[in-house]
Amino acid sequence: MTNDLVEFATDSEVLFLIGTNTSECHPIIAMQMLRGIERGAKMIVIDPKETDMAKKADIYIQTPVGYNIPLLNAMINHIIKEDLFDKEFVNNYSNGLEYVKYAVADFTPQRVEKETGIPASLVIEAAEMYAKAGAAAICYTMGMTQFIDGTSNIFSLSNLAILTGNLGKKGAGVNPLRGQNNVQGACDMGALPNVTSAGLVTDAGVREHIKSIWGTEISSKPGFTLTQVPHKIEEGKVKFLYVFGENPVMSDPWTEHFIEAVEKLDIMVVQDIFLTETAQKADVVLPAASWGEKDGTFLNTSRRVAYVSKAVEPAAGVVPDWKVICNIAQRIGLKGFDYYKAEEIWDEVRKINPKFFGGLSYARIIKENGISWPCPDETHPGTPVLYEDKKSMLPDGKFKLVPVIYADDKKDRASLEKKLIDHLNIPSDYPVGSGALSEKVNELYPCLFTTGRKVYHYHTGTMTRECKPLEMGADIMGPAIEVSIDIAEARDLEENCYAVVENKRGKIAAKVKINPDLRHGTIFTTFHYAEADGNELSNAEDTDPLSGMNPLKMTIAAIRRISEEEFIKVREETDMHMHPSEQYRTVRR
Amino acid sequence: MSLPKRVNKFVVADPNVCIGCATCMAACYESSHKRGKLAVPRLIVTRSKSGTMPNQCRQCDDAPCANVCPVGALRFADDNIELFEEICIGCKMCTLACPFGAIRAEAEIMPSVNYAMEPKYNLAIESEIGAKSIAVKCDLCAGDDNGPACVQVCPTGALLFIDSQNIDYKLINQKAEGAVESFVNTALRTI
Amino acid sequence: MEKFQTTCPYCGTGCNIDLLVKNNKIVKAEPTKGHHVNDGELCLKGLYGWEYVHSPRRLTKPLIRKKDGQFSKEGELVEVDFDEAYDFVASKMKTTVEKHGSDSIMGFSSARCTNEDNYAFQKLFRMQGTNNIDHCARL
Repeated sequence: MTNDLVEFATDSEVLFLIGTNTSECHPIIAMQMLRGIERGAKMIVIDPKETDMAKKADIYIQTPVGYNIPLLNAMINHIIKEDLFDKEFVNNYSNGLEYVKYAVADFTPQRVEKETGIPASLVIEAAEMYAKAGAAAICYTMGMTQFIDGTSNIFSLSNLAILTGNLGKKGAGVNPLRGQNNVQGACDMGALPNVTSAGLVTDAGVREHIKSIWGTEISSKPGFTLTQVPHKIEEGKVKFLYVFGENPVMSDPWTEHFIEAVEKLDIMVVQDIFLTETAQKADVVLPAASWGEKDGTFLNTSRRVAYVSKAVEPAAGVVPDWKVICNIAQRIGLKGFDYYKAEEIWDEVRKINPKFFGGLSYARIIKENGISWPCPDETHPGTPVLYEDKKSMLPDGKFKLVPVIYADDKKDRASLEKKLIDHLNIPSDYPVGSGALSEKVNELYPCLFTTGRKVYHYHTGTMTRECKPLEMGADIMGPAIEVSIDIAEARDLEENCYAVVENKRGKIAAKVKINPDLRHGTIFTTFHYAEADGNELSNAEDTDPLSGMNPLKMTIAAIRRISEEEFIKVREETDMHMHPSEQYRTVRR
Repeated sequence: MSLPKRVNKFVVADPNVCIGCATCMAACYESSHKRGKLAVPRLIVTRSKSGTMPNQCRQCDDAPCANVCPVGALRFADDNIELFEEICIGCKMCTLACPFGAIRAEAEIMPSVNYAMEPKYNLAIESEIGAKSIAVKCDLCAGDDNGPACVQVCPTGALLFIDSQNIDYKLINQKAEGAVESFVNTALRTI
Repeated sequence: MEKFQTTCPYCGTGCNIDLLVKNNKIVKAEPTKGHHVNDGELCLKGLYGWEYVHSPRRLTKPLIRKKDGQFSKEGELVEVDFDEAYDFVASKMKTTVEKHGSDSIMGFSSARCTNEDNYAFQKLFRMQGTNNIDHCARL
């Protein structure tokens, strides 16, 4: 996030929520937003599902799943056409206005109305509300990023913010609401194939700096992304997979494919606190201390470094994850893994990236209850709002407006981008974005299928399903297939009847819940439950050309009503491949 | 001499600030579990086309449930409708009589049940042999000095605990003032 | 009863929690009063989502897939002691790198673990000459 989440309560005049179900996935951020609304802030919500926040919004736009770029471009088009953009900001602090002007020319609110039925007047109203606000905050989550045009979606959002000067001031900004406690931290610590904790692996200066601290030269070749791994295993390129603290069998797209791939590994090591679905398929399982049993730091969505305290002792022999890693590194013979407490690792991080973390000692983090990076020295107060000097982190200090176009067929994206680059003479190092749908509904699979979370569970349920007040108290429904009214009517689906959703990748069976909040033609389910995991159907073949991300939020599927016997049969099959060993089939939450 | 003032206490939610986060349901589970009651939530976050809020017993003064209960498991107490779980025979008449859908028949979830094969929200009807379903409704966390747990935990302050002390102010006078205010400001001006 | 102020392990909001501990068991979680992020409020996962720490199903011993006492892909997971497991992983990692090159090892790090865990994990891989490291932020 460019800004601090508390500013939603105190400073934002308009909240622009797109692809986020904030009240279910971030209830406390929703609480802060609600405080903002009570103060008088307006709210725009754009989502295929009429969420609880949508029902409280001043403007709600129900988009088809994946229809983001045409809508955002239409808004940008209107803002430029009506001269509602911040000329001072755009002229002085950004590049690329002409590119964007050209790219959005074909996108009008009327086109959106024609293609989706969303009234053009509503698109205009939303664009004007956002553009005219003194401070407007864009908030988004996976409903923007988990598509084959996820990166371009975010280009469009940053275009909106740059055009309207909504950067570098309180209550504004582009704000990804991080779904997991330490997404920001894991990225900043360099747990990425192309980025280290000091910067890009392709940057010789970065590698030199790391060498000066580690004493070892690191590779300059970016590694594989998580989504590439199943293919890389099949190609025989990856032989050894070490998974720690995650459950990719359930959280990665296309479960069956992922399971088949990991079976081909020479060895899979899983380090976790429970015998997860992934751990059950591992060759080595290493236990580790959980949250509450170790200390360290998390980085929240506002880039705030906060302390995590050890409260209880773990079982005998069980040590924190970093200690397990050190034990292994030392046995391999690697130097520089002789830490004896977490703080020593953090102090090394501060040396690796002094610009961000230099001033953030444990003592200070604890005393001040968390501080946002960049914080280069002990006297620096931290930076809750980025870009207050109106300078980007790019070498020329300017913000880039990125032209984003849209292809009717995903195969045409590259050629359309090239045409745009040639036509406008865009330099080769200047980014260009494009969008397209990864899959389109057809006769065989006539429904759009999307996944998401429920407030009472977290991700693959490894932790929350072990907590009775959540699993038994708040979650009274269990796994359900939520369908829009038209799907239910066309297929004779009743509330609580059994149904199976399937596509070419897999199928899941669960009870049906008819959800009037869903846009017509849409099926929604969660990925919390091993017994009915939405990711069995997710698309793992298509990727975003820029980030390598799979379109987890969108695929196509068919749904039909089934008998109780068939329901049990499908559930048993699912159970067999999630928990293949008889030994652990009874280990069920 | 003053007349005794009898108003049943109740919990009610404000849908304008409820975000549907279900924290109240988890708190309710925890409270009933701790107090030795059937461990299920007694208020259910209910989503409708126009909004979301938890739904629970209104503790009606002339409660249909207590009137219809054949065994006296639901009784008129001093300031609420009391439910004696151990007397309940699971006839489900109260669930039909309740005009708010705030009483449900529930059975304890059995550790022996394989929930991967049996969606748990149907247990009231499909419960195992030996697990009798009983009526479940909000008991205002009777026995807990801190009052209803849901009201304490609600992060947006959407849940209100109304008793004879604050009913006038919180629910009636405040709104009356608001109505008068808007009438004076807008309606009267245009007459 | 002891009190520890910590940060919630669930979503990215970063709410602060006061954990109340008795006899090495967490007994209650309360929102930290007046904290910048969550201002004395918590959602259900923060308030009640700590029970898993004391779940009887927690892993406490390493497991290696073995058949007739030897490592085998066809075997079952059996309990081993910590030294054996660490030695085994270290030797397999080393031999894989020697045999198939640095880029034949891959690590999935975790967005639910601490900065320190993540840093140590990526260092383990990068020190062996590969950038094959990613984590579940994407998911």
